[in-house]
Amino acid sequence: MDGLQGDPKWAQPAFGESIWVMAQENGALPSLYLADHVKARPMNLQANTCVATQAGRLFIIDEQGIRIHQFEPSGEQHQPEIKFESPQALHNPHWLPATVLQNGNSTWLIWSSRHSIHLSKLGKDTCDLFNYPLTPIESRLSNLDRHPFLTPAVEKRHQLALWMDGDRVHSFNFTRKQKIEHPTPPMSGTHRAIPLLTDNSEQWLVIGGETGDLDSLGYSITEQSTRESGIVMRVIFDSLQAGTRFAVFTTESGLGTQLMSSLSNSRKINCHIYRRIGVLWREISSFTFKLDTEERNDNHQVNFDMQLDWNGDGFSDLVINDGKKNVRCYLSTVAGGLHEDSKAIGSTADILFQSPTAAIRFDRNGKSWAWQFLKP
Amino acid sequence: MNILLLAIFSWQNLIVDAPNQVMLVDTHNRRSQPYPGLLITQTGAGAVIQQGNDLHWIPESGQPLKLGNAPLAGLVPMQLPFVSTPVAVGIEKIAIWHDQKWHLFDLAMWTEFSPDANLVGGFKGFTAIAYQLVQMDRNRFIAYNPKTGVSTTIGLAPQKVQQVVLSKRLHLLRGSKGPIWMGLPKEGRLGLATWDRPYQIKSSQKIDYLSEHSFALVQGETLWVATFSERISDLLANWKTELMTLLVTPVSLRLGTTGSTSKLELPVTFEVGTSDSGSPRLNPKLGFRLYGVLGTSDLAIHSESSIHLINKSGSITRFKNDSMPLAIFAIEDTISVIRNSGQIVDLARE
Repeated sequence: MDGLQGDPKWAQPAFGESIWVMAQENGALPSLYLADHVKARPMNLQANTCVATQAGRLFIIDEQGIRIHQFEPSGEQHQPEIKFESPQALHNPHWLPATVLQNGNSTWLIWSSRHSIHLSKLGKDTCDLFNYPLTPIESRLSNLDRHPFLTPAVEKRHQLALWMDGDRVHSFNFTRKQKIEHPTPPMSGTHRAIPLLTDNSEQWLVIGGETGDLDSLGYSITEQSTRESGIVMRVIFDSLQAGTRFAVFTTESGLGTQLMSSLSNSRKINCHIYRRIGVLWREISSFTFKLDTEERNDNHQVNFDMQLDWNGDGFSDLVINDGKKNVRCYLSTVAGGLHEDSKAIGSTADILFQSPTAAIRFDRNGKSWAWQFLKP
Repeated sequence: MNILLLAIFSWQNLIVDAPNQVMLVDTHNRRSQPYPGLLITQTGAGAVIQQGNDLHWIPESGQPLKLGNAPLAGLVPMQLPFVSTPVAVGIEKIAIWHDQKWHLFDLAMWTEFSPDANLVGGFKGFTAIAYQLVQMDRNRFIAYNPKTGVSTTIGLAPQKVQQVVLSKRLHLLRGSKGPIWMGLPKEGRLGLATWDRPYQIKSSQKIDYLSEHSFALVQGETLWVATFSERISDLLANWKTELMTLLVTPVSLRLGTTGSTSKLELPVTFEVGTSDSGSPRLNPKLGFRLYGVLGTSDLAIHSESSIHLINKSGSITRFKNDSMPLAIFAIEDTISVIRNSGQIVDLARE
């Protein structure tokens, strides 16, 4: 593929054999491309905009309104701009990513400016716009060299869009079109709380431990006796299950184990899968896998994710791209857990991106990059 | 390296960047008023403010000046304490006001991209890591990029751009006789150069624990350097006690000598996490902030409910103070703070 400047940092399917890919050259500004296997075409995106993609659609939000570009194999169509009733200040020195969420037939765009988060339901020619205050995202207050232009991650859980603002959690109900702030439970030490909100429950996953005590690290679920030890590496919510299934990945905190992991370039990772059944979160499966942390070359990136449903049963599956020879997948069980034996799905990729609709592998090919879908 | 300078003007007139507004504070008459516009650049001699697409220069003394249309789209709010003329900065270019017009130069910040994140991951977008900018005289600037080590000298009359490659992760400050390089001639040292030869270190001082994470603040003829141990054993001990020892040392910019070092125990908390491949990480979150006390050469440290005031001889006075102030200033023996609301409050000793 020609035309891509720098290395891929994020990718998502567009239409047919085309993808959206964000690439960045060492320390330069990232660019968005629409790429097929032959050529990557850069999108001309301006400062003071926010940008999102959904299949073949490119949404560009500026201070005046929202423009939608539809890309298809036959060409490109521009829809008339949906104008805001009054201008919405952005103050971005470059374009910023926005989030697009689908709620039934409705498309919602979510983006942020320095002091606000904006949610907009798209109509044919108009949009409903909801603005809420947002604490400016500063890095460490004292570091004047760093200028963050970041937008909060927004997740959809059934009828809710969730985001965090500092320690506070906010949910916007798409149906009621109302925002609620959810107070986090009181915490000590290095604990932090992750919302396990569903339509009828307000529980929390609390991760961390007591101050200065490696042995106390772990996680628990409020209002339940669930308690596991270890350093929490990642928490992934299954986007196919409306917030009723999630996975917690932990690694042991002991100094001896950490030393052995560093020396052997191999780390044991515990995977715990939970589902909401009735009024309780139940652990459906728990197993350990080895992550080969040795990266084969400068282009290779070790990672694992749970985005895509490979076996078509409605649950997302765990896919790992590590230092081993193959990309491998742990498929879900009928109950929503994961099988403990993995299945190879191709040779190791230099980089593997996962999204709910496809996994995309990138491999360095001389001075350029080649990409391929890994589909179930 | 962390540089801290909040207020920019003489202690009589301040412009402070309050949430959602710019505030003009007259410390003499103890009044503050909101100023329409968006604060773009705070320099050591004034502020560039954007109203619509127009920029205005509000100098420390004298009349505000119209600077015409913004020379760049998407300006980055910057604090440039070592610059005295109007400057507007974009991510890939810098505009310098000289002889009644903007002069544009290619000068890129370093960008760290944060890919699509989930709720637990936090944020997506990018962080621009700015160069450090020092104005040498009316016509010459140095911009040092700590991520690449590239130092760019910009001349305005005649227009000339030159680059040299230095070590990475240094920090550039403006002294009275020349640039100050933290980390030159080698790690742990503070090197002083002259305006004629800005990259040649004439003299240097060793500062305990000096690193890229240290704090520095120039207050008149005094450079305050605050350092802490980054040894793993000390970090683990800090995690247990939730306190860290900060060593604060004044350096005379006129004489190039260091004064006595003060030790303070200050709050710190840690977040425990891992890298993508599972290596544990302790991320410190500092529970304090450093300020120059305007109208003096003293340093102030705000933490929890106190402000510690440190003078050049190393004596420390504690004052009660609840919320993090925007700026701290002294008039005669009275120490006052400006709150987020613009209100000026005198501090009482503990």
